[in-house]
Amino acid sequence: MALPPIAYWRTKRTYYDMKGSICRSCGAAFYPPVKVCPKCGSRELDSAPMPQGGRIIGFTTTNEVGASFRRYRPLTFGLVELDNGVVVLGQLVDFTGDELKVGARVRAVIRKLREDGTDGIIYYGFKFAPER
Amino acid sequence: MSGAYVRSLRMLPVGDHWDMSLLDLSADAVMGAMDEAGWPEVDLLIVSNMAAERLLSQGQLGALAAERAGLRGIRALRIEAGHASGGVAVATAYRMLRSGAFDRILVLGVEKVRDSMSEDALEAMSMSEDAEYVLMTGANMYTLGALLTKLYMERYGSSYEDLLQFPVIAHENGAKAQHAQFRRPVTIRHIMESPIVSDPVRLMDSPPMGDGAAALLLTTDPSGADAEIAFSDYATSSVDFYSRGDPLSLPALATIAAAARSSGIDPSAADFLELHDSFAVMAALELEELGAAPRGGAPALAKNGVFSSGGKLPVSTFGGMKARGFPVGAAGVYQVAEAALQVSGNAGANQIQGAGMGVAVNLGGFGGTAVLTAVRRR
Repeated sequence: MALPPIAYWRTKRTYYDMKGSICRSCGAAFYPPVKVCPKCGSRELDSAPMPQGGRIIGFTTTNEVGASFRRYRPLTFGLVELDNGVVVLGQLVDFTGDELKVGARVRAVIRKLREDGTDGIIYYGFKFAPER
Repeated sequence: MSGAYVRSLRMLPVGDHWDMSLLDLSADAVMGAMDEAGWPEVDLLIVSNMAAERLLSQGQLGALAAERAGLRGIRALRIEAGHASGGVAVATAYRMLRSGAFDRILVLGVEKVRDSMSEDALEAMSMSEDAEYVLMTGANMYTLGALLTKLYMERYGSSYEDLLQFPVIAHENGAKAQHAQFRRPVTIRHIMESPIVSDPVRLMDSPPMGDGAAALLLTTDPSGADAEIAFSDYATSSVDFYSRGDPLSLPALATIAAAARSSGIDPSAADFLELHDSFAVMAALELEELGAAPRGGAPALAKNGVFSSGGKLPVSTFGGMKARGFPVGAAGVYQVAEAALQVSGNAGANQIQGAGMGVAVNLGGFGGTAVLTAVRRR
């Protein structure tokens, strides 16, 4: 999946800091960010980084990937429930042995997602590593 | 309000059409349906397709398909709603006919994925998900299907093999269907011997890639029609299944099933269901959301034969997404055409005895869009 470089540039703060939205009216948190609160309909939302810690609620290793990620496969993904309850999908990295299991604590880290050939940009974003 | 009837239909076999382009497939399906109906005047052509601009650099499918199929000059448009494109096209036609805006609408579902490398087709078929936040991570439809499968297994204590009853049933039915992509029965062992696309999901439990085209001529005039669209509508919910509160719920399907019930159509009381069973877990989640199985109970009912062709509630009677195949944006049109064949008694070797009313469920991605269409005998 090749996102145009400008779309990535525009969104990079939300990738680097996992910046989402917190509703001033009902307190609900969202990632990715929203303009209108899906829970209460309020338009009063603050941009806020999501907590970096969380726990794995599900994981899988994907062997068959799209052309843009061919050289990085296989990729392991986790559904992570952050400490504020928001669930985020991201790659899991640096796991060894029996660390990878449901309930394991993780922390968000900045890593390279992929490179766009030899001349294109390098895409960075968060992944989740074990909290040790 | 007018009714909406299936005047004629045509389904091309799903699979590898190396010798046919997107517009060749379109023309064959449209001409097949129009030949059967005797070429009445058509007010509108609705083309459902998901991936033509991504894989084939082609837009303006309405005018192009109309021209190539001998309908030059008519109104024509294209609908895209991810994997639910076909169902949304039928629902849109249904609403336009019921409102009295038009008398005859031709719905054409068409998809051409096999001209592309499979890793490109995989990216295109994953476009139902959020590109900026989900696909950006490298995840694709296999990843999400696998995560849902594991969540289901953990919550309900099912084994993966329990869920594989569904592709086994689909292949039993597809083996008898002329237009199915995979015309052979399979066993759980066969599926478990196929490669893992994303653990625990095996290739033979994942959405297959195939070209296809199906056309339905829908009219307000019941003459010459033996199938009626009794209900067709859709709803949306969060596209990310894990942002729904309960990731094992399908809120859009729940919404539209409630709407169907208030119109007098109870999907769980249908004579058969055409499911969006692109992963086994989706068949289970849909049956449970429709009330045809208790939560976590669909695999056990499947094992007891409830959803097989001789059972109480047969599903995916021509093979579903697994064996008939998954011609992405056209799949929802195939489902409705299959339901029409069933209720009119024209389902051949796949005929369900006493099929008076059937319901098709078509989802975008993992339920961000949910379409429910009921077809009944006229």
